Amino acid sequence: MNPVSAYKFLPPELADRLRGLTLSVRKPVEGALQGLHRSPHHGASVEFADYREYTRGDPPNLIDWPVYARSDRYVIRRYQEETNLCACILLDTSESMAFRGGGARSKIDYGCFLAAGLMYVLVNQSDAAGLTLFNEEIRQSLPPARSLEGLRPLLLALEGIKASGRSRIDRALHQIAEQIQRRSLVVLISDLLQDPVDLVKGLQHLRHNKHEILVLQPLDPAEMSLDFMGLAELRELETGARLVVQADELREAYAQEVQKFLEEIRRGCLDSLAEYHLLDTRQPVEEVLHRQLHRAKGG
Amino acid sequence: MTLSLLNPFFTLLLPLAALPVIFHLFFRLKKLPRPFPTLMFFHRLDPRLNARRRLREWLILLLRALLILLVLLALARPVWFGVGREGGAAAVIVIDNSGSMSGAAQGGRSKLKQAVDAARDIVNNMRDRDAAGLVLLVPDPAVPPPAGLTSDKDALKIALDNVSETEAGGSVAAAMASAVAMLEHTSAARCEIHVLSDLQAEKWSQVPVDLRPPRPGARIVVHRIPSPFASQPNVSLAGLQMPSRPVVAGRRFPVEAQLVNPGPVEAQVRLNWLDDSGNRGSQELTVAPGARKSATVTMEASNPGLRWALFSLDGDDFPADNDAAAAFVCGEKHAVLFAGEPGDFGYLPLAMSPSGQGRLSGLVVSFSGGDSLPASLAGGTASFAVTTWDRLARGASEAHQLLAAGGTVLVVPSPNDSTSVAAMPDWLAISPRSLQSASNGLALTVLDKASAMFDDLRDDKGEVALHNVKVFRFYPLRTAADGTPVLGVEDGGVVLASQKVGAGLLLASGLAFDPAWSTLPLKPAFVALAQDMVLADSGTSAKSIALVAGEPLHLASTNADALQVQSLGGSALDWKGKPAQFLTFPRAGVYAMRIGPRTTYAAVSSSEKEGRQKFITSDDLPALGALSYTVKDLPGGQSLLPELRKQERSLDLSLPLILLAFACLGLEGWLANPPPLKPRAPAAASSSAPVPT
Repeated sequence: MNPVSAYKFLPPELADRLRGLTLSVRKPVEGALQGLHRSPHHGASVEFADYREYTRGDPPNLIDWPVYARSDRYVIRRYQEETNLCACILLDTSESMAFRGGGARSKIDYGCFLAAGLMYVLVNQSDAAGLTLFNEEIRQSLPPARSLEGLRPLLLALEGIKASGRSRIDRALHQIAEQIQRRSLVVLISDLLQDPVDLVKGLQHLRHNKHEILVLQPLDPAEMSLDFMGLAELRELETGARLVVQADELREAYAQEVQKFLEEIRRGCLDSLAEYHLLDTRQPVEEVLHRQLHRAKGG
Repeated sequence: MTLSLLNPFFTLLLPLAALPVIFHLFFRLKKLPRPFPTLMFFHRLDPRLNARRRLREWLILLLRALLILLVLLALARPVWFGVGREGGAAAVIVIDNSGSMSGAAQGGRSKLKQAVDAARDIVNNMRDRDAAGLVLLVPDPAVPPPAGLTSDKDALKIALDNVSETEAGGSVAAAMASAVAMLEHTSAARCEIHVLSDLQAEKWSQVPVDLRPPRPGARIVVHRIPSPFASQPNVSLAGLQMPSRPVVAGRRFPVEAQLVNPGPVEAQVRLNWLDDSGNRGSQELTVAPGARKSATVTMEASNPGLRWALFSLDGDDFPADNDAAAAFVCGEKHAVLFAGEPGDFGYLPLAMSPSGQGRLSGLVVSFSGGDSLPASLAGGTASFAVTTWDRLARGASEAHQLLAAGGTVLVVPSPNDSTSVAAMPDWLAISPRSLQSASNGLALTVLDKASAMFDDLRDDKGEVALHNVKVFRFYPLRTAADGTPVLGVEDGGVVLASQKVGAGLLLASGLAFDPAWSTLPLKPAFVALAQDMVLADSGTSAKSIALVAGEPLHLASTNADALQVQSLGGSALDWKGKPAQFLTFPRAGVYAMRIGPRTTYAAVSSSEKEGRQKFITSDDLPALGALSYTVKDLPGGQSLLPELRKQERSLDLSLPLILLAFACLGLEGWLANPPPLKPRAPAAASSSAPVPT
């Protein structure tokens, strides 16, 4: 029996398309097993890293004798150790993620598909993938899975998500930064609807702890530009606050304001050395994953 | 300076101005809010967006309410009198010339004189560009006012000089309709209707069915002429009751005059009467307070034709309700032919005509003698013939001809007849049986109580009173289907019956009118019965109508025929014109109205209601319905001119209100459709070039 056949957010056709794809990180990560990714530790491997001066205590068999012959110096050749990756996927489950306007599905569903796809790819390449759900604080943390069988509770957890509560992404990022001990890949899936300054602080905390960061921001087209006419009363999903707006009066200014906000997010991610992708919920999830993962594999 | 609303109805709609707010609140409750992920961008765009929008929303609502308010106020036509431009004035003066105005006002003058003086004051002070019209509450054919509005002061003054007291009620609604029609097409800047009246409750409490308002801008001012309390009694002549039977020349008849004393004081008055022949008489009468009293006057018309009589009261305080008139057509004396000798008919000839020549009864009797009906009977002048059973049997064809021509034949047994009667003709449905006797007498009973021959024998309850008549001898009558029993005896026998024969009437009696046959000839009722048998079926061809002064006159004619009205007695009037122009008789009298070859006579009495001393003292006049008006007491001797002059300056505020409404509309449109909001100025941090992902 196909182990992914029964999952809502990992249907067989998505799994088929993702099979064979790989996700690699740009920076070294720490892992317990030998894998695809560079380790911060040097050791026995086939990939040359650099030279260093021989010091007492080093095994003599590591001395690069041809270099000694050319330069009369004792140097040791160092090799890059390859290790497996442990990824932590942070999924925003605040109520704003439940919004669905012009997109094919709500942002929370879209995020669940993204999370399921990424976890599947990671496990398939012998990496570990964990899942953390948060809104204004961490709601649930599931330990990393290293096999398809181990992925099952994570996928089931995705199916049980009900978007609720307010969103405090920065607080979740700080908590995660404190919790993860080894260098990991942190994937943040959120609409990022909060003050970019606070958000960037959270990202920088992760970056300070030398984690690789991938930020995926699914947004509905109806929130990027006002798709209604005339006077309307809007109710904010997270707070219930209401506001009557004249759409025709605000349409242009609103769209520009959203673009400014996205630009701030993008700049903040760049400053935090985080990889950032803005995703339109109208785009099919498998295409987005296929494009991103393929590109990652390529380089 | 006063502010008046010419169409105050629209002020009732002012609450409609709250509609925008009500609709706003209603639809806000009904509308579901649209879920949205975050309002952050709106707040970033403009932190005061909500406050600004709310302010603008309430401003729009305020402007919409103001717009409705201004439009309604403009439709209500507010006019500020006393300021603004001054133009020509048009005033219609409505003078109440009804009977009540003949009463004394404060100072002793009549109220009508005071009203006319006030109207004259208005006319005297008219400027060249002003115009005025005159309307009388009671149209008076003797005082034709100038047609419509005129600036001719002399014509108006002449008309005012001719205004005199009437005895009529008058219609407030009709007078106001005439006044409103006068102002309809005037170009004057200021229009006024001035009503001068004592506001007698009888006329001014009547709610009109449909009263058209005057043109916008016109103002109605009712000048009340105060009526002092009347300490002297007033008796009204409420009507005349003529006898129901046609009047016959030479025959006396009673006329009953109805008197009313509505006041709290006993009144002693004199009732005078005068007929067309110059006969006159009078009665002293005392009428208790709050009571009605009837006085009977016996009159006699000596000649046939139209006759009339005038009645009037003397001795009370108020003269406008003291006159009444009666007009009637007096018929020729009736000829009664007795076919036989006087001894064949007992007391009947004497009862019908005591003098034999028609004095007192109006019946002239004659005897033909002989043993049969005279051959000339059918073609003669007599329409009433009396014969005996024997003679009828011998002259049946002559009797039938008289009946066929519409005459009446009374057949009686001869008092001396004791044998059985001969065989009767076939057309006779009534025949006598054998003679019967009753030594103790049988009571005479009335079988046909509705018969007109008993009209003068009825008591107050309408019952026929024969006063215990006993019958000693009689021929019981056999009646077929065509015969109608009229009188009978107590054992059931019929002694008088009638039968319609052709256009005529046959009266058959089984009773001779002799004391040996019954006690009837000895009773006073016999005279009335005998004469009524002759007069019961008589009619008249001429018409007369009885009217109360001021009562609308409806003449069945076209305007193509000229109407001529002449007074025969009472108030003098000689008028000629179109029938539609003659609306009513203003005073009591007897009048002949000729339209083409047809003449109609009218007996007009004064209006009893005009003497009622009840006047409206409040400012609420039901007779003006929904019209907007002002009531002011007319002070004696004070000119109305300052009031009129003040009203000539006016400023119509409708146009400024409409302009304000347009301004509100424009402002509301600008606020409701704001230009797109400009984006925020880019922050310094975000002004750098975007970084590619």
